[in-house]
Amino acid sequence: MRDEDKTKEQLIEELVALRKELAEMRGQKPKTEQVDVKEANDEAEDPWLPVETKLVVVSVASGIVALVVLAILVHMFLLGGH
Amino acid sequence: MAEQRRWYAGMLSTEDWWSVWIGLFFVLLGLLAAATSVDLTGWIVKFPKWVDITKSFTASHKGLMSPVPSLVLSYVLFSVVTGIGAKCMKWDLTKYLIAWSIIFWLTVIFYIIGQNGYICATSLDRKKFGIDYSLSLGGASYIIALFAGLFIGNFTPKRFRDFLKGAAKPEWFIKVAIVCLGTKLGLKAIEAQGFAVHLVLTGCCATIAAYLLFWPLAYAVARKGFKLTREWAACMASAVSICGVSAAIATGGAIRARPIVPVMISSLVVVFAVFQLIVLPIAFNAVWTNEPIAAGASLGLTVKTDGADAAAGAILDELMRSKMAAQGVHWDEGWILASSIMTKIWIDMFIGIWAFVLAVVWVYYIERRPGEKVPKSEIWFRFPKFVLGYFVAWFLVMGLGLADMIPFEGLEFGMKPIEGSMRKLFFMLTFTSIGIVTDFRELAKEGLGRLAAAKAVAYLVIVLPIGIFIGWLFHHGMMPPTAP
Repeated sequence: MRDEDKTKEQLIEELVALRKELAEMRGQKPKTEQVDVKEANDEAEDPWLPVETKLVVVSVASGIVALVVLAILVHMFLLGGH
Repeated sequence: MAEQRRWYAGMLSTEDWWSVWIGLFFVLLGLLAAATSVDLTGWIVKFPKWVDITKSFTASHKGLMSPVPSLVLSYVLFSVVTGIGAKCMKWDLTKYLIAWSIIFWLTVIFYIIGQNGYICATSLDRKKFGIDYSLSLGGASYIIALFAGLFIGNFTPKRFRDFLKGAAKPEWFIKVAIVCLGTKLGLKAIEAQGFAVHLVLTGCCATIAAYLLFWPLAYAVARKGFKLTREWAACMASAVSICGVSAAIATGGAIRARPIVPVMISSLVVVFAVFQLIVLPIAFNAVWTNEPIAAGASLGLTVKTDGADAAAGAILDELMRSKMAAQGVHWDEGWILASSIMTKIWIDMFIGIWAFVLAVVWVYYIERRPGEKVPKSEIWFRFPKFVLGYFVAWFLVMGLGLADMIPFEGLEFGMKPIEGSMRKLFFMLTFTSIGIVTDFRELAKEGLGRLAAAKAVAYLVIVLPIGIFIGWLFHHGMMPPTAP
């Protein structure tokens, strides 16, 4: 079964089981508490990478070009008729 | 990405595919009726506007059977087909059928109440019903179902609402309805072919431009403004800018985020979608009636789940048509809804491609996994399959009509109960279900505050204004054809 076909409860159960397994592999006492969002997004911050800048800039630039070009084409060939 | 899957994986085990099978089964039944003139679809129950309660529901083809057998038959047959789907998806069938029955009959009650003439009749309908006043609230039944569902989902005992969630499947019901909607577009395209084609092309253009702008800007806001980690920021950006739950999940899979990430974001998406669904159609109707198609397309770009978008489009369609009818302008039903669905359909189709792009960026650049490759088949696995059902239904009806293989009157005879009565009933089931599955307590959960704030800012500052602008840019001046 793929992740997108699982229920929230199944996914959380799976996650907790994986963490338990990992903790056991490391020889630690497994954590029993629920996984919560605070823990998940308070993790050490990922540094912003140059590739992220590239991803954002290239995507926005392509978006603006696409917007202008497609808008011109749509106005020339489609909306003129309405 | 390493997982080996066959191209047909999930065909009998996912809601997405089952919406295609159920939708197309009824479409084929309608086509068979159209081709043979045997009334195979007229039994589907219809809920017209009423002032006399005995006329509050009827068979789609009144001469075929009286109202009560039509309602009971509709319940039984829809229970059977969705039950087969539930069984194949390995849900607990008994629980599903009991919960489904409760949701079905509650929905019937909400539908009947919302169609009361004093609530929804337009100024023109009043004369027909012999009443002096009405609230003229187009789409009231949807709102009633939504609020009643929200009440059930938030204030009834936990055991009861958890039980109902076994059959409250808004995404499934709306996808079945959208496949049925494909036939409506097919019928409409026969009458107004040029307009339908324009709607498809402009919807596609608007979506391409929106995709490339929404996602990176929302991602940058989440990362820079709210200091979210990459996996949270990427999933949040997809949820707020693309298509809510499915985009968050697809992105989570693509970047290999931990399962908890898209799951928690999805719960926020559902709560936000309810606000979008209630506020946007009313706001657009108040200030944007001069651009109905642009307003519909903007809904498709700014309401972030399929169910809520189709629901918002249906409300906007009703509200705008009621408002214009009072001024003597009668727009054909369904075009505003179609414009909202069209942009959403394109957004859904691009999810697979976007997930693929993100997977490539993450594997090859951000996480640098040497030796790992992203198979192109991932695009197919991420592709929303109900879209196939929608296009098959549309092209089948349009093709058979344009090629004169089945006369237009025949198609109307067979397909109207599918694209009208059945589609609206599944819309109503969607509204009730959205309410039931929406838990406002999710907002109060510890740690969700920062995510919710990031999502709200990205939505209000980026997605909403740009979505409205793009919707207007690509659709302005397009007006729905007038009703015959």
